[in-house]
Amino acid sequence: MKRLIPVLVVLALYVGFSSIIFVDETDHVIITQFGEFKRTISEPGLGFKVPFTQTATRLEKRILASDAPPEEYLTEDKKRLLADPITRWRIIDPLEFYTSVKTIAEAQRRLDDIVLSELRQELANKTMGEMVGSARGGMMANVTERTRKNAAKFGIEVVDVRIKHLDLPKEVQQSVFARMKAERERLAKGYRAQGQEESDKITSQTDKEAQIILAQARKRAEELRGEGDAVSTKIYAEAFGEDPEFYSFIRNLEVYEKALDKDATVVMSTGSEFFRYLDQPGKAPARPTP
Amino acid sequence: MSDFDGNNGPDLRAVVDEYRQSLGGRFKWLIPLVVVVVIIGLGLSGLYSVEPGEVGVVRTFGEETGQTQPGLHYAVPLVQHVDVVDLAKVRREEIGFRSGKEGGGQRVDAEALMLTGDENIIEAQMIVQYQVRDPSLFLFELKDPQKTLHVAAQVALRGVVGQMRITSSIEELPDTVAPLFEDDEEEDEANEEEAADDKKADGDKKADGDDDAKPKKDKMPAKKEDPLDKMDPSTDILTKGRERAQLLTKRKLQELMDLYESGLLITEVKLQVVDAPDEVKDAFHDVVRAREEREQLINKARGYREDRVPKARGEAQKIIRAAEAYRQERVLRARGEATRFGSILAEYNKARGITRERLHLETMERILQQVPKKVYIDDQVGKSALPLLNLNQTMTTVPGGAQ
Repeated sequence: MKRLIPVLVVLALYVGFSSIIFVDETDHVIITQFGEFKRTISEPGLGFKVPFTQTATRLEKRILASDAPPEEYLTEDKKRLLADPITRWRIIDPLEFYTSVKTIAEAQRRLDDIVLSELRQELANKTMGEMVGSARGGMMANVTERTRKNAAKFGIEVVDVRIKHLDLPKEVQQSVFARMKAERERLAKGYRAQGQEESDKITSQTDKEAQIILAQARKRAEELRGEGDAVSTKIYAEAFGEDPEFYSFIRNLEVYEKALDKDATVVMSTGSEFFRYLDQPGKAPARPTP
Repeated sequence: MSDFDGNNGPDLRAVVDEYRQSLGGRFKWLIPLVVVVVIIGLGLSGLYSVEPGEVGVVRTFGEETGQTQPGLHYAVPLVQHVDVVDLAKVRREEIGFRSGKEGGGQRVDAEALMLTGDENIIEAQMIVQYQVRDPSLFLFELKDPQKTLHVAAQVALRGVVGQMRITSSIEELPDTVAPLFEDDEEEDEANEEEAADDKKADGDKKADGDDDAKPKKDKMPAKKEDPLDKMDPSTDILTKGRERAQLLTKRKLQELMDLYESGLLITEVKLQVVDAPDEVKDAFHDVVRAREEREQLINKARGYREDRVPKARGEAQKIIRAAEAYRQERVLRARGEATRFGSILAEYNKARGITRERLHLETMERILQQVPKKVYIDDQVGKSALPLLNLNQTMTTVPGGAQ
């Protein structure tokens, strides 16, 4: 009999352990009895079940992802887009979940189907520009909302549906690149032309200004010279006006002296007044009276 | 020996039996010893330490029952489970590339290429730095937080880039060009009209620029009291818009991660690379070059201006000074000559005949001294004979000589 004791202890332990469940923070636990649903334990901590006859099934309580494969969609303006949606969801009704889809993989499959059809419908009403840009947020909110409604029957709460990637099909990509290239070339040309334009603007403006500066200076210079000439003329006129004949006499003498230099040859008549004393030293010839 | 073994014997019994057989009962004391050692070992296995910056999250029967701070702690084996989470560690996630061991990043095309709001394609590489803010959420609310973050970061970045654009128009020059040089008031009317036209044209240009900037602003759903509002949403993502994209992405990513109850805090979002894809990179770089060329041309023109205008001013000064000198000289000379004439005239008036004669003779004296070739012809000779002179030099007659 003594030998039976450890066996009994082990047996008791086994029974004990199979009736105790550790419900983890990350799990829901469903208790079934021969496949028949009994209850759900969602509170973490210790849980109990009837040993042997009841089975505990753990279901993920955390937020999960469902990553549908990228698909090609047609937008309203007949453009093709590759969209890769991702859905975040969690199990909120383990029973519904367990009875309708059972496994996470199956749930993901169902969800992906819903998301794809919703997305296709939504995209068909949007142009590509809206899709890529501003409308994306609102559109995905719509898709999320409808997916959430549709998925509720699986005991699933959809947190959100997002577009992970939104790309153009390969061949469209090439044409986009060609367009971008053309656009950049246009810009580059524009910049170069603008540079030339600005440069010409500055240069010509500068030339104009420089010319104006010089012209103004010349104008001023002429004025100054004119002033000088005027003043000097006035002075001369006043001074020489006192005896114009004498001025003429003196000036003539000065001019002769200057004009007749070393290179000149002078031919003089002995009959001139200058030689009046040459033949007749005694007689004083008649002279003009000054 | 063991009838019970086959029934429901747990492994333990088999092990014990095996020991008994192998040891043959000689070392009976060994069994309790092993049991004790196992129990002590199990007990000790409950010890764990939490390093500074970390926190231990304790689950008892699966339920979170507490968090432990740095130090040595004990968790009851089999019953309690501890996850030590590093809160201080800054984690890092790479989007669009994977850095190799040598630091060189390998681009991941599927992640790096994305559409902008104006249907262009750009390449972006981003680093997200994050920390665990709430260890309970981090552990229990989201499956695979790191992968989730990786995807959410792409969602956020693409969402942001999808609302931004690449500059597709030539950037207006800031009003740099040649501030109109003070045109002199003495200019003609024609010039003034022209200047007025210029000013009008400038005004029109400015108005156009404003019109361009305004409508784009409305496209962003405005978040008020936001530093982002200060940044122009129409700026080019490839250049000035980068900072804005970072900020927006960070915000959006944090929103998403909060929605997923990840317990993560995004500390930094850094756009490592924002560039045109390889296929069109050359064209983009050419635009940059063209812009630089524009600047270069303008600078050169400005240099010309800097050089030309002062030189012209200098030249103008020279012209004016020369004219002033001329004026002064003329006046002074006139005064001098007037004075001289006045003086001579005064003396001349005192003895007119003599002075006149003297002045004449003195002049003649000087002239005849300095002129080397002199020909004197007697009037009588001149009348009878043909006066032939071999004039191999310029012949000049004294006007006063032939009366």
